[in-house]
Amino acid sequence: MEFTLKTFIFYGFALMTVASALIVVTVRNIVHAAFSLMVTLFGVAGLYVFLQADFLAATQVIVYVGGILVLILFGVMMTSERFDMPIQVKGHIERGQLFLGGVIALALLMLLLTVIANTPAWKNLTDDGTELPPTTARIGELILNGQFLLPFEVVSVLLLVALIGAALISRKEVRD
Amino acid sequence: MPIEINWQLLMPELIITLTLLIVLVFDLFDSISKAILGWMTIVGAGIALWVSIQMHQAGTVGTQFNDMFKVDNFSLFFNIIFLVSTILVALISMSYLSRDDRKQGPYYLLILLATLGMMLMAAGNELIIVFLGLELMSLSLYVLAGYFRDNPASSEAGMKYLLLGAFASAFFLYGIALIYGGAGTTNVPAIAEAITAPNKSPLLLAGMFLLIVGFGFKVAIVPFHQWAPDVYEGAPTTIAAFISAGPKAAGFAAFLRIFMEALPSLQVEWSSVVIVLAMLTMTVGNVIAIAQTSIKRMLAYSSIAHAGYVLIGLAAANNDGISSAMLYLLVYCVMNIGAFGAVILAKTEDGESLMISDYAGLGLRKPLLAMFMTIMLLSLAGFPPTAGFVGKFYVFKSAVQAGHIWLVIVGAINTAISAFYYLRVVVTMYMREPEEELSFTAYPSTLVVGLVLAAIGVLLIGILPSLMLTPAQNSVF
Repeated sequence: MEFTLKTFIFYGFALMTVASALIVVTVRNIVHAAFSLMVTLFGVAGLYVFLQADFLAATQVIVYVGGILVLILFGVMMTSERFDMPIQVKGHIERGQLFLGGVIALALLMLLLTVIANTPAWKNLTDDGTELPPTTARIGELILNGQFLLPFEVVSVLLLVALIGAALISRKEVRD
Repeated sequence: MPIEINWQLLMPELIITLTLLIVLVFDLFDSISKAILGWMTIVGAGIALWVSIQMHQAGTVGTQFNDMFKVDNFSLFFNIIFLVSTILVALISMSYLSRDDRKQGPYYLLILLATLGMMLMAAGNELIIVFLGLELMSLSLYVLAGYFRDNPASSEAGMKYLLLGAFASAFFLYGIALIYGGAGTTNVPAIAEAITAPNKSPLLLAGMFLLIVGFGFKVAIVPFHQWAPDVYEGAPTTIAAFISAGPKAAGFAAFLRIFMEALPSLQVEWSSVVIVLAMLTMTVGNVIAIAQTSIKRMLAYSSIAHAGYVLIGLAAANNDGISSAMLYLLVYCVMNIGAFGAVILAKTEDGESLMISDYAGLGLRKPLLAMFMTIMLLSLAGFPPTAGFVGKFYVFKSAVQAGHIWLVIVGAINTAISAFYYLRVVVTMYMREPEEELSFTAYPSTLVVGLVLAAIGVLLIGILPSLMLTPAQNSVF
């Protein structure tokens, strides 16, 4: 395999993703874990760019880094203020839990590795340097030309439920 | 390219959507009586029910939206189950909400949204649609479980349901992702074509097990049932009735469609898992139900056990198995909502009668209430001439035909166990004297109408099983 700048950057992103993910699950301070998660999510977005999935990469940054991560940090901030709870994970982790979690994680890893090894179509892929057209416009077309129209409409109803539910739960109970 | 849409195929779903939008808008006006929203729900669901029955009789078949949405007798039969449940729940809810001046608009709106989600699950011919329907239904139910904000038990139920339900959805979604990875498509018939017998990749098997876990949570199968008793006990009683009926049927609808139509070539693998789950679910549900003193918790464990009986039909995995599971779900929805409705009817001046001991002596003091309760409990226990007997009989018959004798034996033993705790309530009502005289409130008329309809349904199907069995047999995919 020739070693180009592209592969160098790719392995940089991959290393960044895996290393920061390890930090997320090992570090005791939740805020540190959250910031490490940000690096993981950015790394994943970078990998999407390498797969020429530009829409997915942008969504990853907007939704996960911009939305979910901020929510986690807000959650930590508000619960620790309000209930006077420490934001450290201090509880002792049982050895049994550690073992069980490790076994499940390993089994999942083995499964995914087996699949990668057993899928010849992926192994024979070579980077011939072709650039795929940007995906955003095509995704928009697929949604509106009928192929994915129904899921799109159902999601809009789903958002209505989320909106009404959130308004109902966060307000004081109003009686008729 | 213009999109061709056959609106007639979408009629039931469109009517429900229209009804929920009307309810949403009318809730804004302060000048009208809010009780009308409940009636709008019933009328809308009633029209949708009528249309579904017409389409079922005409044998309408068709797919829409690029094969994502499939209307056939299977989905229409489930539409009938959902809409009957919705109408019954709306009937038993009216007095329950108005006697405490609870807000009615969002309540009926969320019930209709959940119903729409269920209908999408039954008609989903595409895993994405099934997932979206599941989420639409679940999100509405989380809010409904925590609807009584001033009641800590209700808030806790909502919270617990949300957290565990979100986990279940994640498992389900991961299962879909793995199946997509293995089959290269999320379309139900296309998956079946992509999976040929020699190609049993570990990816597909892992995806299949994750789907079982996800469905197991949603329909409360042991060992994924822990949320059910707490949620049923804490949620408003009408919502406990709703959660135990329609959503369970919807979960099984998607379960049947995906496993029978998309994964038939993995049947050896999943049917053995389903057999074990069915035995576990029936036994654990019934045995724990014996120890309960709260009637809502008892009904919760009983509804877990009933999911086990439906699984017998799925384990049989033949046409009779599917149709008997569908018949069982219809019967179960009606009788379970009826049982919860009888609990609501037994309201005293101090609040709801939630302990089994509260029902002592009701047989003579409140004959109507005791009669409703007895009919529903006998049906849940599976005594002839009630619908519960018919449901169990056909489920067991299909399993015998498929050669699962042991499963049927376990089911029969469980029926005997369940008779103990159902009949205990009946005995308490008729043969025991109350420790203190409770003063019951007057019967609300809408609640009585709901219960009368449920009782008629239970007895009618019990006496004339072919009334619903033939449509169920005509509805196998």
